[in-house]
Amino acid sequence: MSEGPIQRPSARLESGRCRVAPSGHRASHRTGGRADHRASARERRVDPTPATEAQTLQPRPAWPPSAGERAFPSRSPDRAPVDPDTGLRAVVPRCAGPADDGDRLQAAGRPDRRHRRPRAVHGYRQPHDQPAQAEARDVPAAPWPLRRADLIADLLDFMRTAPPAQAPRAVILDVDIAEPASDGADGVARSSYRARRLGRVEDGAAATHLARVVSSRQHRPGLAAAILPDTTYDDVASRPPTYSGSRQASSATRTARSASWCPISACSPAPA
Amino acid sequence: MPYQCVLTSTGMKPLYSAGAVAYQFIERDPNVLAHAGSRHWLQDGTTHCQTTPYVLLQHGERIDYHFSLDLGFLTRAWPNLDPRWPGFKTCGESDSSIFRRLSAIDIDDAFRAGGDVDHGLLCQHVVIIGGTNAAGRTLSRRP
Repeated sequence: MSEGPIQRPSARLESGRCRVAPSGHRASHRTGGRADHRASARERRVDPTPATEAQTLQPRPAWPPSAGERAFPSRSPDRAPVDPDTGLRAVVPRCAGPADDGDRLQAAGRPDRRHRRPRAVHGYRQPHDQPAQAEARDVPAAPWPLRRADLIADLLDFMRTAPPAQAPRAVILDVDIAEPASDGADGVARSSYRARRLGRVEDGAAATHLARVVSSRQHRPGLAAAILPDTTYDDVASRPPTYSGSRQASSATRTARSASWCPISACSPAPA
Repeated sequence: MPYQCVLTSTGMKPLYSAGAVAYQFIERDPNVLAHAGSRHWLQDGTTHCQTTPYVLLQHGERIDYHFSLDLGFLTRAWPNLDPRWPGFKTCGESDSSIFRRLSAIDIDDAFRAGGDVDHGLLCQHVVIIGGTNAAGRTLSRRP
């Protein structure tokens, strides 16, 4: 693992303003950028990447976009849309850079999955500001292209194919596999199935060298059994009904599927 | 925050932070792990979410010294890898950094292009794909 090639610019919130910083200095929402200070000394010391190497990367579109492309109706914090999940106004994501696609996408009202999300209780105010939610839904979609859903499965595949001597000790999966992506519902369904299969591999005695794939979304305290999520939190509770099915069709079967969730060790094989 | 309680089809369940889960694999000393502050959260989360899900957690937990991020702590927070880390021997590893941040997109692009992506960057490490501190954020975040 080398930090060298990863030099995409990103932005961070610092003293209420946005400014460009190396990607390793991204501020966290919870710490308000304190982690940057802590990490800065180490990163300044170990980062050997010359500036010329960073310049060879393909640049992403500048942020914020031009006026005609602006994804937010206002830069005023008072008029920013309220995130219906967190109950917070989406101010920070506007200052986030390209490395924070997810934050901005959520704040900008991407395809709505809220109806399928469980309510996060701890640390968050329950959404009750209906006008604000409506406002959030009306915000144009984010200007950044979504990554393919297969990204997750590719990464797991990359780890699965590692030689035994170079296999990771464990893989912690902490993303929503069912997130809408540029390859559409079919891609999401494919990716979900691939990810589940890869997670399932570690059940096999012949695959003992493979890293244990654990989802931090799993709600079971025991970590001995590595499974992927089996709740409505993710769309990986059971095999997708069909690769060609629409997103709506998949959602329509959700209740039935979640009622009889499928542990990873009992999932049936995919269709050919 | 070690976990968040979420409402699922089968009731309130804890969703643990990636850091709390990862630490169970990172710490190889069973004595240290047995007494680590994060241990009881993993054990108590289910009960807590089922019985008192609306009681807010008022604080996080010191996972261990490795991950300690004290308020206002301006100097380096993490030590080097322990010299006994097996990766030094089996992986030919010389970098002793505890954390490395990688771009999943860069790796995926190289993997898809059929390039020779060195698996050594995975060797003996605990890999976290994604990883945030709030379930509401994790939902929409891609690595």
